[in-house]
Amino acid sequence: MDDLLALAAAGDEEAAEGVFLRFSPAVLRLSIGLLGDLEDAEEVVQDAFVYALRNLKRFDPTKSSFQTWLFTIAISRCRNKRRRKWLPSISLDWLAPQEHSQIGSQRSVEEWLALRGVRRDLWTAVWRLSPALREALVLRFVGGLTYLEIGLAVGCGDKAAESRVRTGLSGLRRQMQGARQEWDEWLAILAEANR
Amino acid sequence: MRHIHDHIAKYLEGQLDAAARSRFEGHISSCSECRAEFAASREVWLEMSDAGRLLRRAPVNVGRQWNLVRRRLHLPAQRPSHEAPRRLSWKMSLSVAAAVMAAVSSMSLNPARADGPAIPSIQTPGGAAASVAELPTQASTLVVVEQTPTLTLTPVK
Repeated sequence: MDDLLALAAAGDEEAAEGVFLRFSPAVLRLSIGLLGDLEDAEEVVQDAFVYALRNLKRFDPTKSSFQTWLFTIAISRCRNKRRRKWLPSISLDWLAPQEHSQIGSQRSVEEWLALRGVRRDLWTAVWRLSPALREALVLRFVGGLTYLEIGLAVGCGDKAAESRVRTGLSGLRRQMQGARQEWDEWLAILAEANR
Repeated sequence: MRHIHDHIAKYLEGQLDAAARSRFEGHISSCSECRAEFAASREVWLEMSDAGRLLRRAPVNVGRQWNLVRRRLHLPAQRPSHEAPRRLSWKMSLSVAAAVMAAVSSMSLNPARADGPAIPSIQTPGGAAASVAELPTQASTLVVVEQTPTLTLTPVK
C-alpha cells in the first residue's frame, strides 16, 4: 500500500488508478449515506480524488489511515454540497426487487434499504438529524470507523465523536418512536370514527 | 446505575468490561423504565447496524468515475510505451493539411518563386508556431509532437 501511494505521489498513473479503484467504493458509499443522492455522491467522489491525487504528499500516515484521510476530504465536499443545496434531494423510484442491484440514481437510499428489510423511516430519520450527528452515525455505521477515526475525520475528539453517535442514536429513537405514536394515535382516531 | 443511557451504546458495542456488563444487566432487569429505554435503543442500534452493513456492501460502479477523474487531472489517454509512434491530433492534422494545400496552391500560381524547395510554415489553430510546449493538450487525445513537421516540396515546373 505504501508503495502504491508513493508511486501515485510520484505521478504514476497506473498507481493513481489503483488507489482510486481500491478506495473510491468506500468513499462513494459514505457519500451516498451522507447525501442520499447518487449523482451528488459521484461528484463528491470525483472532487475528493482529484484533490487527494494532486495532494498525496500532504497525507501523513502518522496521523491517520489513508481511508480516514480520504473520508475527511469527502466529508468536506459533502458539507459544501449540502450548503449549496438547502433542500434535500428526493429521487423518484422505479422499484424492481433485484437482489443485487446497485444503488442507482432512480432509487433512493430509503427504498433501496427497505427492499432489504430495513425500516423505511430509519434513513429519513437519519437525514433529519443535524449534520454533525448524521456524519457521526454514517461514519460509524457505514464507514465502520472507530470513534478516534471519526474524531479525526470531522475534527473533534474521540469522546465527542462517541457522544455524537450516542446522541444521534437517541435522536433516531425519539423520531421513530414519535412516528409510531402518531401512527397509533391515527389508528385510534380511525377506530373511534368507525364505531 | 444512574446514567443508563450513557452505557447502552457501550453495552451494545461490547465495550463494557465483565463487571460493568453485569451491573448493567442487573439494573435493566430490575428497572422497567430503563428496560424499555434499552429495548428501544437496541432496536434502533440493530436497524442502523443492518443498514450500515448493507450500504457497506452495496455494489457500486466506479469505473466511469475514474475516466472523469483522470480527465480532470489532465492525464493523457493511456498508451503503452511499445506502441506506434506518437501521432498528431486531428486538429493538428487539419492545420498541416491546410498549410500544405495553401503552399501547393501558392507554388502552382507563382512559378517564378518556385526556385527552390518550399518549406511551408505550420500554423496551430491559434496561429502560433507549432512546438511541443505550445500545442494545446486535450485530455482525451494525445497531442505531443516530437518536432515541428517540415515538408520539402518540389517546385512545379
